[in-house]
Amino acid sequence: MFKMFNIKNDSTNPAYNLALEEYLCSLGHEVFMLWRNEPSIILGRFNDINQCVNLEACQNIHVIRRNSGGGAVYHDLGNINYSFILHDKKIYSLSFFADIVIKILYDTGINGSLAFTHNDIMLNDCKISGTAQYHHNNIILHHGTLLFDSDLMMIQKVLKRSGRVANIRPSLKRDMNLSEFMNALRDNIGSEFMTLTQEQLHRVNDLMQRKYLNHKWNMEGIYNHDRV
Amino acid sequence: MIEFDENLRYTKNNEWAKTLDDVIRVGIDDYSQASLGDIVHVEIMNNGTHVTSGEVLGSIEATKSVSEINAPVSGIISRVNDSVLESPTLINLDPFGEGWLVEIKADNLAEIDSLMSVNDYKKFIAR
Repeated sequence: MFKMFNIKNDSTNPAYNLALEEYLCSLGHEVFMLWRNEPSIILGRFNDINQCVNLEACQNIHVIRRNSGGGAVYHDLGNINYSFILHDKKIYSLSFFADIVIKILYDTGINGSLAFTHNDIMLNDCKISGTAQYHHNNIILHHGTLLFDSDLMMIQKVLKRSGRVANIRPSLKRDMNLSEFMNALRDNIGSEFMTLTQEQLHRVNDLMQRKYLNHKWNMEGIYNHDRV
Repeated sequence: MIEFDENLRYTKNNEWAKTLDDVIRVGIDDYSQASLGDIVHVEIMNNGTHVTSGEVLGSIEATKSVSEINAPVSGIISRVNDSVLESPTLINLDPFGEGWLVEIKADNLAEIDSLMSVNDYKKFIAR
């Protein structure tokens, strides 16, 4: 296992959280972070919003585009996101990280069979975690969702394509609330906490304003985002 | 088995570059395409855009993974390979040939000499 810094992030603003994740990639540290978003659609880098989202069902839901690949996902406060950031010239596969997450989930106490199938983590044949990656200059960002206690009906409603999904909570060996589950995940990663300085937080806010609150980036995925 | 082309220069971000008359052709190497898997989408900056070495000039999406492509040298994008935009899998099939991405009219053609030789790149990958 890598020696990673753990970032404690209580923000539930998806634009801020994606800006924070991108900023953390620039720091040169190996990082692990758990985070949650208010109800939001998080589009994959090249997704056409009209092809994957039922926009009329998205009242009061944020729509934000991420850097990584894959399809659109729905986040709410019952979903936990995890991010691994590594600095290595080696390109790590999706399954490399999925195996780590599966081990952590088993260690945390799950009843049932976990498997990485079609690039998703499945629990008894239902998707509980989607994964995606972003690579640049030997930085590897691998992130994913963990449906803990999400509104599964909402997923079917807002996304045009969604397979069978399930929440993790009903399959826990010992019931935990979301906060206890997040703490258990962090304990199983076992890394040292790191906090950002005011100057660094200012940079995250600046990136959020320039990019993740930029209509062209979120709606159209304009290519040259570095120059937004 | 990862293949290397001895006539190319390489970057730490896994791009290759070679001089063709007055332009420098750019692509991604065999190690990248093999590690990423099936490439499904390519986006490249428009012809006429000035890029600076180390800056992003495009992106590719493989299985749920997006990788940024850097400009190996500074200059103006003079030609984009439309074939890979239409058939991204060309990069998997022939990364050093039909799967090239762009040609850059370099500000300074000699800048390519600052990139890694194949032997240096092999050492870099193996480290």
